[in-house]
Amino acid sequence: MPRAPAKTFNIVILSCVVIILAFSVLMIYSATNSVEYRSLYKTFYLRQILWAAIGLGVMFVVSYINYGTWIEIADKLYWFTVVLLILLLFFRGSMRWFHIGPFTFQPSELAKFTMPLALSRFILDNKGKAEVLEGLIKIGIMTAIPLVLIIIQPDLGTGLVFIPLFFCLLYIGGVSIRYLGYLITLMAIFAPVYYFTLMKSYQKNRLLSFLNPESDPLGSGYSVIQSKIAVGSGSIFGKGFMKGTQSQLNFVPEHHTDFIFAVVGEEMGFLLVFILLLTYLMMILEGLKIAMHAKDKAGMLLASGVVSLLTAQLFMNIGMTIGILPVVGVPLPLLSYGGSSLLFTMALIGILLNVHSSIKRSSS
Amino acid sequence: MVFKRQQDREDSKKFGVILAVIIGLFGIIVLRLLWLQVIRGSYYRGLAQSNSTRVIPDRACRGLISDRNGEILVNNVPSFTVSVVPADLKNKDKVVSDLAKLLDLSEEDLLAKLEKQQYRVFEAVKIKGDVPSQVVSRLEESNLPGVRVDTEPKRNYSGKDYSCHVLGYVGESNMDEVSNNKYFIGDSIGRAGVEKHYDEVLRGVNGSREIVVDSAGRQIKPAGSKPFVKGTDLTLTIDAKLQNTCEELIRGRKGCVIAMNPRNGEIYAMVSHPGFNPNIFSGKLDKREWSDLINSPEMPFLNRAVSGLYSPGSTFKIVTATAALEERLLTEKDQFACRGIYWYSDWNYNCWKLEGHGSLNIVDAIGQSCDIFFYQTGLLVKVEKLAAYSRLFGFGTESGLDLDGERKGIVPDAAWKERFHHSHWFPGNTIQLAIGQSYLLATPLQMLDSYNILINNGTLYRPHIVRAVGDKVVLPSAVKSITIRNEDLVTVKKGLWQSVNLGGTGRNAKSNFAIAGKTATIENPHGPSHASFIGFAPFNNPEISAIAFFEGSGGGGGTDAAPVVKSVIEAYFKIKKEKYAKSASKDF
Repeated sequence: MPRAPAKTFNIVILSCVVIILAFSVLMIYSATNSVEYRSLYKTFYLRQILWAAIGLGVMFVVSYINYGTWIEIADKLYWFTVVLLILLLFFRGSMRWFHIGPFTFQPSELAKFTMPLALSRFILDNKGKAEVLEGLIKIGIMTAIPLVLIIIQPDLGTGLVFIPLFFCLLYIGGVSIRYLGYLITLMAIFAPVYYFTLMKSYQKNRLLSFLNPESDPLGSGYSVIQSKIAVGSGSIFGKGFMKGTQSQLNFVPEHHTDFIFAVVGEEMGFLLVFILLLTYLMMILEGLKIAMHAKDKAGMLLASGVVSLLTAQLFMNIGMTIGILPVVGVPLPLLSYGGSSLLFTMALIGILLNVHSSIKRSSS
Repeated sequence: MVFKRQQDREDSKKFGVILAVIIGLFGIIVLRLLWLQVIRGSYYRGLAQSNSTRVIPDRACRGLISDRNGEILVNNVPSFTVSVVPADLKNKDKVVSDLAKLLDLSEEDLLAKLEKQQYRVFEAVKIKGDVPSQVVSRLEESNLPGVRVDTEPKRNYSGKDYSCHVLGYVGESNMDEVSNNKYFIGDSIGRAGVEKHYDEVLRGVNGSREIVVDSAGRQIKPAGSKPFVKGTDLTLTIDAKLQNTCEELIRGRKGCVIAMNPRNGEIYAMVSHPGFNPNIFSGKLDKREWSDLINSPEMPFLNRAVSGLYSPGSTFKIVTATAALEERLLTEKDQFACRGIYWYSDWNYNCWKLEGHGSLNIVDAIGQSCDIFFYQTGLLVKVEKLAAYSRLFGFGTESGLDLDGERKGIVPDAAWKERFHHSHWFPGNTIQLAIGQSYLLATPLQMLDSYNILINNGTLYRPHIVRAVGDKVVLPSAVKSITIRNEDLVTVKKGLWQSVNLGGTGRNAKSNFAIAGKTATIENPHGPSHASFIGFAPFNNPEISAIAFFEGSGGGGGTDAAPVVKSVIEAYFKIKKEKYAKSASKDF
C-alpha cells in the first residue's frame, strides 16, 4: 500500500534544517559583503543557495534509501575514502581539496559521512566481540587510519571530530565504561607524544595562544581575540544585519567559513544566537530521540553517529569562536560556507530521516 | 521478551547520559555567550570600536606673525608628514626597515618613536615631517601597511635668517611634553623667540579626525572630526624694513643692534649676529646640521641683545654722572683734571686718552668720555650709591621684554663681592665700576634702557616686541618712574649732545637728524675690545633710541659702532618719511 512520503518525514528536523539554511544564506551574504570580500566572494551566497537546494535534494533522496543499504556498502565506502585520502596526500601535498571542474571536493568531509557508517557496520558485524580487547584494537585501527591521514593533511579539526563519534558509537554499541576509560587514558598519554612529534608549529602556536591569546595579539592569538571581540560586541541585540564592524572590516578572518559564528554573534546578538542554538538543539535532540526509538541496532548506531558528529562539530566550531577551545578548522554544520560539508551533512541527516521513517513504518 | 526490555532499559540509560552531555555542551556555550555578550558586551563593543577607528591628529595652524606694517614674516606652508598607526603595522620588522630606509632614519629612532606610543596604538604617530614629494611618491608605491602620509602645515620664515632671534623657531614636541598630554607626538612647539614666548597663543588647539579602517588599515570612511582652532596671529612692533637694514648693516660682524621707541617701549628692530635659518627646524632636522649649529663657537643661537652679558663700559658713565649730580656731590661747574694717568694710593689708572684731557667739567667729560674724571666722580659717589643708581637705571633686573632667555646681569657692590668672591670691595673696584667696567655686567637691551630712562626724564616703558595679539593691542606700560631733577637731566643730555655734535667721541654719528649719544670701548679680558654706541634722535624730542654693540671688534665705539647707529637712525627717518608720503598719497 503506497504511503504519502510527507507523513514519514520528521517535520521537526526538516524545519530546523530549513531555518538554519536560511540563516546560513543570510549570514554568508553579510559576511562576504565587506570591501575586501566583495570582488572575490560576491556570489558566495548564491552558491550557498545552490548548495542548500542540492543538499535538500540529497537529503530527500537519502531519506528514501533504506539505511540497511548504507550498512551493506559501508566497508566499500570506507576503503574508497581511505584511498581518496591517500591519493590526496600523494597528489596534492598538504592540501585538503581535490579540484573537480569549478568545484573543490574535500575527502575529509566524505570521511565524516563514511565513518559513522563504517563504525556502525563493524560494531554490528562483531556483536559481542567489539566489547573485548581484540575488537577494540581492530576498531581502533579502523578509526585511526583515516584519522591519521586527515590529521597529517593537516586537518586536525576534522580528525578530532572522529574521536567523540568513536566513543559515542562504542558506548551505544555496548562497550563497558571501564574500557572506554582505558581508551581515554591511552589517548591522554598519546596526546603529548603527538604534540611533540607530528604537530605542526602553527598548530602548536594556536594551542598555546588559546591558553593565552594576548601573548601574541597580532599573530597566532589574533583570530581568537578578534572573534571574541566580534561575538562580545554583539551584546544582547546585535549590531544589526551587515553592520558588524569586526567582520565587515575583516578583523575576523575566515568569517564566511570557520568563523561564521563570529558574524552571527556580532550582528544578531545574544537573543537571536540563543534562538539559533535552540534550533540546533531541537534538531539534535530529535535525532537522539530517533536513535532511541530506532527499530534495530543498526538504526540506533547510525542515528547516534549522526547526532554525535553534529554535536561535536557544533561545539568545536562555536567553542573556538568564543575562545573556549583552541582554533581548529571545523565548519559549523549547515551554517558555514562550503559545498562538501553541506552536502555530506545533509546526507547524514537524510539517513537520520530514513531511520525515523522506518520507526514510523514499523509502528504503524 | 524479558531480555529485550532489559536491553531497552540499558539503552535508555545510555541515551540519558548522551542527552546530559549534549545539554551540558550547549549549556557551556550559552554560559560563555552570556559572559561575552551580556556581561562583557559593552567592553567588547568598545574594543570593536577602537579596533576599527583611527585617530589622526589634525594639527592646528599656528598663528601668523607679521611686522608692525602687516608684512607677514612667518606663515605656514603645506608639507607632507609621514606617520604610522602602530595597530596597523603588519609585518612590523620589514615595514620598519623599509620605512627607515625610505625616510633616511635609523631603525632605532623609528622604533623608539613607536615604542613611546605603545598604549595608544590606534593613534597615528608622526615619524617625519616635511618629507619631500619624491619620497612621498616612493612611499605610496611601496604601500606599507600602517604607514600614512598626511598634509600638515609647516612653519615658513620668509626672511630666512633675518629676524631669527626675534621670531625664534619651532621644534617637534619631545616625549616629556607628549606624556603631559598637552601635545600630540610631532606637534610643533615654539623653541625660541616669539615662537616660544607666545607659544600658547600661537599654537591654537589641535583637532582630530576619526576614520573607520578595515583590518588592513585602509581608510573606509570618515567617522567624525573635531576641527582644529587656528592659532592667534601676532603683530610685532618690529618694522621689517628697519630690521632688514640692521641685518645688512651688521652682516658678517659679531654683535647686535636694537632700535626702539623710548616713549612706549616698542622695539623696531632687534638683530643679533651670527644667526641661523629657522626654517631648518620646521622640517625634520638633520643631526649633523644641528650639532654644527649647537657647537659653533660663534654661538648663533644666542640672542646677544638680551642674553649676551657684557660690561657696558663708557655708556654707563651717564649713571655715574647722574648719581653725582643727584647726590649734590658735583655741579655742572665743578672740574676735575685729567693728565692721562690717575694715581690712587699705589695704583694707577689710565684715561683712554693717554695725553690727558686737562681740566674739564661733567658735560665735557661725557662728551670726551674722560675716564679720569669719572674715576674721581666714582670715588665721590662711592660704591653703594653707584650700585643703587645702577639699579634705578634698570641694571641687575630683566627688562621684562616679551622674549625668553633674558638675563639680568650683575650689579656688583660690597655685599655681592663678599658673597661671590669672598673678598672686600676695594676703592679700585669703585674706580672701575664708575666707567662701567669691573664686575658690572649687562645686556645690550639693559644698556639701551638706561638711556631710555634718561631720554624719558625718568620713566621707563617695558620694552616689547609684540604689538598686538590677534586684535588685542598691547598697551605700553611703564616699568618704573624715577625722579631726576630736570637740571641734572639737562646736564647729562648736554654731554651726550656734545659727544656727537661738538667733536666728542661720538662724532661719527653726527647727522641732520640731531642725534645725541655715547660711545663705549670696552676692555675685554678674553680678547679684542668690544665696541658700542647708544644714540637717540631727535635730541629735543626723541622718538628713536638705538644701540649697536659689537663683540670683540677691536675697534673703538666711535669708529665701529657710532656709524652703525647713525645709519639705523637715518634709515628709521627715511622709512618714516616714505610711509608718510604713501599714506598722504592714499588720502588724496
